[in-house]
Amino acid sequence: MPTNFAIRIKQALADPELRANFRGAMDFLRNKRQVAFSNEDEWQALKKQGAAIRQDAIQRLPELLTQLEHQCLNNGIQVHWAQDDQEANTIILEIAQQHQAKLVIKGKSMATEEIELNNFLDKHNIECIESDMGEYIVQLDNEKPSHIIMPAIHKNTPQIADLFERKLGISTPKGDVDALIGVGRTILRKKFEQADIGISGVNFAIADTGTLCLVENEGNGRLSTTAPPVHIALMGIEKVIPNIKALPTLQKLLTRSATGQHITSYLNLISSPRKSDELDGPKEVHLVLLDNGRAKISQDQQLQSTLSCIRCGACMNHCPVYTRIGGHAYGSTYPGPIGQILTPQLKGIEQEGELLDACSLNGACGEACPVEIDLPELIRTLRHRRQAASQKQWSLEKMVWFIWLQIHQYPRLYRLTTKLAALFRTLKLNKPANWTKTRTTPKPAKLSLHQQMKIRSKIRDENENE
Amino acid sequence: MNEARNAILARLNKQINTGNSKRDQLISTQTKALNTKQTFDQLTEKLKENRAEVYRVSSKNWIDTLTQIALEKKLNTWLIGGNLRTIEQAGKALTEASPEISLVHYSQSYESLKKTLFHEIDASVTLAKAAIADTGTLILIPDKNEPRMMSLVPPVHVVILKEQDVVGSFQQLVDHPPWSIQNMPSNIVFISSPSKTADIQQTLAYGAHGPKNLIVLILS
Repeated sequence: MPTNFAIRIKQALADPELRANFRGAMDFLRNKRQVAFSNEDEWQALKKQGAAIRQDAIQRLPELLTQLEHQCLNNGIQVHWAQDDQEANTIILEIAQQHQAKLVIKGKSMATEEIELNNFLDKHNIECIESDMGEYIVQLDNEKPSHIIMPAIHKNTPQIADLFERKLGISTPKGDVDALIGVGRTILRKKFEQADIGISGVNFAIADTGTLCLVENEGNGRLSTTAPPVHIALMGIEKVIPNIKALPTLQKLLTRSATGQHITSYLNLISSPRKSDELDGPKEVHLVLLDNGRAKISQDQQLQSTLSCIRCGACMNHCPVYTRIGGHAYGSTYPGPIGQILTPQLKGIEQEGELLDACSLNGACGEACPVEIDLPELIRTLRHRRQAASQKQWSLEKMVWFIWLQIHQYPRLYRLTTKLAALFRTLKLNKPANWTKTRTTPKPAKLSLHQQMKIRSKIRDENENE
Repeated sequence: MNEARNAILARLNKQINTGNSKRDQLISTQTKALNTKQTFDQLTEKLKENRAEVYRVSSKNWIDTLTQIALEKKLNTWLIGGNLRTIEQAGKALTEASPEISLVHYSQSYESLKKTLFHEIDASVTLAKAAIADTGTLILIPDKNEPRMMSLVPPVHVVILKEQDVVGSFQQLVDHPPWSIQNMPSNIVFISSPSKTADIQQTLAYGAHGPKNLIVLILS
């Protein structure tokens, strides 16, 4: 029986508009990235540096996190620790309730997607509005982001214009992106003015100064963290870095890998709430440190490098599977290669292990990764573990490999098999399988390689003897 | 809450280090130092590439340039900060340039100024603390005199930058930061272009949520 994942893949593959949207977007992002890293030596040096910074930070997480906590508290930022999604949601809800909040405006944050914060707050009658243009579009259509950097990448301009007309009753000139953005700007500015709380993610947290770093282009991240009286930042515990000297390298790698930009329009460093003599900025800043399975990953030597990820999205942009099926087919918060290794680790390999199948081990993600995460190797490791943990003693796959092993262990058996294959080569055994539906079925040669070589050497011997 | 903290730290402490630490690779990358002219040219070029308007001005003519911009673009309501001589000079010149130009002083709390900020301001003018040449980035450190919203809510944002405050790269900036590491400013903002987005079919659009125009006056 096909699983939900298989059904979603089939649906995505059968949607030509969706496929065109992804193809176009991926080509665009790949080209931009390639231009940004056109100097090969610089790229190699930068990513080596980036990988070292991240690995070092992951290995020192307890030290860096306690330092970050200490510095934030000194600066007046309140720090909370959450072991899982439920704890994080509850902490955020309690802060919101303390302030009798009705409206939350959100900067873009994948961590809040991971804990499904919007849904949770909605159930407690607190409205969450996404303010990143892509996130806003996706939210308007009751969807989830299909890409971690460009959430509405699965939609094209006419589809978005249509959405605005349906949901907002506002029509815009055909194909006019500026007009669409103008609509979003006007609506969301009102929300920034009214919101009781702003919630954001964190790109990097600097331990030794207690500073939250947010990278963005639109200004919605700055508005979400400046206009409302309370700012709550949610971050995965792996996002901490030791000091600001580590930031330039990571910033370069992040923005160039993500969108090909040498720097984004805004890079925002937040170290404290509004000080007593200042006139704006949030009066309270809360930092929620989210574990949700990350600490467990850090204990696993083989998989630890998963935590080095800086969420640039380059792996999905370069993944041939993601490009064809799009982000929604994965059904997980994080799609593409990083999602394939992260989701089974966060949510359990039994439930989410199937994601690992959507990979041809072509290696493109590993080459694109700016912090040298060996994604193909991690996928292989997790596939192996999934298979080992499998309850089935005799799966079809195991059987096939058992037979393969026998054939390749015994030369006689091997020869017999190849001879038989050659002999019955014209037999059409295959019913149309997934592979042969779109490809010619391979046909064994008339003579096996061994037989052909034998004939060749015979002819050569005869020639030499003459 | 402490329970969660202790549990998370306990889990993290169970980490066994692989031993193959890449820590020795943590050498800071050296950037080539450029001379003043090259640095300045690079900054200008990068800013323009990112759709900022750049004017090179002197201490004699910068106010004229500013008033000209105000008149040409019909920017009538200006948001200005407090207690800064340079800005007060500019404000005075602006109001003298046209009877239609008026000033709003950001001298009260955001809450009491909110409506005006969001609905009445045409432009603001602030000072930059530093700039990075190789990415074309302005560094602003908002404070009580120039609050955070000044560079964010007005549709047009004018920045005044002193030429000697330009450094070559981000790395050079953080090696000698123009702020105190011991006593970090509550907010530091790096600005490299007007607010923008490419979230709709990769089509670049300016003026997403912040300023639609970024104008830089580089003072030599």
